Amino acid sequence: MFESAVDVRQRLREARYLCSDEMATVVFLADQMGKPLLVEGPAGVGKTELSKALAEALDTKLIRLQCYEGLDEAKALYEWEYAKQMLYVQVLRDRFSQMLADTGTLDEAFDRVAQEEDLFFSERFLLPRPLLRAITSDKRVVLLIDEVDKTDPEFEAFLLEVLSDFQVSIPEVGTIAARTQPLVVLTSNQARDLSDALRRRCLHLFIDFPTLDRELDVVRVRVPEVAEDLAEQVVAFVHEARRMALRKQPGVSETLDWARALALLNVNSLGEAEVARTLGAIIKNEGDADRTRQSIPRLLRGMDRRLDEWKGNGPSFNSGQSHGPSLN
Amino acid sequence: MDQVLTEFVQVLRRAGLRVSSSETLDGLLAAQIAGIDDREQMRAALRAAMVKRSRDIPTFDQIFDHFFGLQGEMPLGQPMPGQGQPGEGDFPLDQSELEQAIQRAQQALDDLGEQISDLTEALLRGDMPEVLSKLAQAMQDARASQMENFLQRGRMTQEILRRLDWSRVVAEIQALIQVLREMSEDELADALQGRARDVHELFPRWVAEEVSSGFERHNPEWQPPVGPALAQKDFSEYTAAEVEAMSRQVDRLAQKLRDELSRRKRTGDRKRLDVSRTLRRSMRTAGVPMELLFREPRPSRLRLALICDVSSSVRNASRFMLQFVHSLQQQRGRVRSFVFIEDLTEVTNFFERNPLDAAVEMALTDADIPYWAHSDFGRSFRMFLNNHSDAINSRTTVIVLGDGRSNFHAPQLDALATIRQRARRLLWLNPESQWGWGHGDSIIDLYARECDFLTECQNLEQLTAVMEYLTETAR
Repeated sequence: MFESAVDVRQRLREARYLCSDEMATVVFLADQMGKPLLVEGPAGVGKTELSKALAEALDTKLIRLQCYEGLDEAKALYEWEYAKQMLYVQVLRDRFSQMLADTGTLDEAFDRVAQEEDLFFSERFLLPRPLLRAITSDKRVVLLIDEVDKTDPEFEAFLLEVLSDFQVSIPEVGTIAARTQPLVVLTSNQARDLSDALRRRCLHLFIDFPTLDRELDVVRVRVPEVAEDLAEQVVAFVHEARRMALRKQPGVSETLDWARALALLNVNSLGEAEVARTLGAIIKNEGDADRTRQSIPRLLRGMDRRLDEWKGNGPSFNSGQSHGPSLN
Repeated sequence: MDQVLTEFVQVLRRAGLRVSSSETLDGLLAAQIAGIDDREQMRAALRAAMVKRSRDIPTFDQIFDHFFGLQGEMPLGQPMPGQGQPGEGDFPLDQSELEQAIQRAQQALDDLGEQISDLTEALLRGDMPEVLSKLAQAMQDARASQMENFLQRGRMTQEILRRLDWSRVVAEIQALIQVLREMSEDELADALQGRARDVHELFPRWVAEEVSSGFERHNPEWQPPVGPALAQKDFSEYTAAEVEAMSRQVDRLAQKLRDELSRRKRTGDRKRLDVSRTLRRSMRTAGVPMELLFREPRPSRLRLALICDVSSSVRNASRFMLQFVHSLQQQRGRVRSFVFIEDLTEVTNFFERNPLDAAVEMALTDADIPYWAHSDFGRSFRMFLNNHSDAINSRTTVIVLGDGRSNFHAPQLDALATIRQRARRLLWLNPESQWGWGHGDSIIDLYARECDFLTECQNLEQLTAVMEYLTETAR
């Protein structure tokens, strides 16, 4: 458990995740209120990363359920391990024969087997999937349900049931209640509109692209090998690029990749040639790449302007930012 | 706190945000945990608990700022672009000073036997709930919600201001300042003057905003100005604002239809056992088939060739058609799009390289055809056949969108007949009302013989019906 929003911020920082005041507050609330946290925002702003950092900050395991179209309960909750059951039957065949040796009629034999049925449908043969693992864990874990918008509406309804009661009923075994209630984080890229019911159940956090200051901070923390001047240029350039009408805007993860790539290539300063050579790190779509390539000089000019402005104000670390996510 | 929060939620709901009562309780709890001393923490807490859609965040922030206004900040209206926060800067007034000013002036007026109206007082004090309830009443009286055309909002705003007796409010504020000056309370008068400037400036705009958003609220999803009326409105009568709003509506409908399709695919009872996979899997369990495996239903692929008339008379219909089909087909299926007026050209690659909105716009204005020409259907069908016959095969559904008004050019029926023969089926959507068919230069009746299906497609409702039909019959 976190003690306060400030504590959240600090411990996440130790896990090398920088969050705004708003994010810290909302995470703190989700933790305190025991409510799932629904995180939305453009791709690559660190939605998934947040839960990884949370697990690290809380010194616990991260259990991840990656959603996709067609994901069903068997893959998310539990499955019976038929093969193992079969194996046991094979190995114990002689014991079964012995046990049934003195039964006269078939009926009697059935009854005898029925008495032992519980043996086969016990937790021994239950293969727990992420959801079940998360609620049966002895230590409180962070449960990440990633890209929940990719699932089908029926699975969403099922998820709702698990997330509201934190218990699961397995017909053969009975109800398994949560030993510890996990800290649940759901992420969505808004590919599909989630149901109102699911939204109601969660606390909502919208992570937008960070401000220049914060993104620069992130680069400094995650890619310490990159020189300060270059880091500033990289971040400012990406901010400029985000203003273009691209199909896929570069996220923070792209910024980091790019900074890493440039540091590896020993680039000291961004020029047209450097950008053109390494553009693939931030622009992943062919059409986007064509258009960006054409406007590199314009983007570089914009970058310089932006940096001048920013330096004019003086680098104000972590200040005036509590207003939550803002564009650029 | 409960009381304040309940009122706050009322205001949010009035602005079109859907906040359930369980969310209100969450909000209360969240605010208590986060602490109400720090305004931004409280904002974050309330927002996380009560606002679950990112598009609602700006509205929430505005209302939050108004409602839990900073001291001296005018709790009215949103700050206009390019304009600083009202109440900041030129006249740093604090609430107590303002209160004092109002009280003094009011006393003085009382002595003179004059009364100021409730609205004036509420506006000056920044009493948000009171102002809102007055406004809501006036809007109801003026039947603002029955406004049918988004463009009437200017007139409607005037009407509401009249009903609120706005000119009286203005006069009263002047009188208050006057009285203060006469008492040589210049400091208080200045304070009031500052507030008055804000009120003058912002209140009418704010009413206009309310009128607009009141109009928006009438659409089932409380989104931009699209009402049920608009769904039945003729495409050709759309204004620019409506086109914009409609685009969003079309996107949502396509999304809904996509969800519906994926659900139907899953719950379809036509599950077929996959014998070989089941047997193979049974090897794990010593040949006992413990687990039944089913064939994945083959995704229905809709192969479409769209042939859209983009002359000005039917341009809007083509716009929504292109948008609808392409947003529907984001993942599966293959669509080739063609536009024509006198000449025909393919615009499929616009959609591959650009965001949907831009692509549609380009198809309507930027394709390689003369846009000033008059529609020639026959010539266009012929060009399609000559240059793009690879776009159709026996699995393709061809959709022609046009009014069949060919400006007395040769119909070239055989071209259309050949297209139909090579395709799986040929659908014709006519954005013109059935009443006009066959009159003047309309040769839709001739073309009708060569179509598998001809229907009027004049508004969103009809377009949606066609799309549903298409997806249902996909194979």
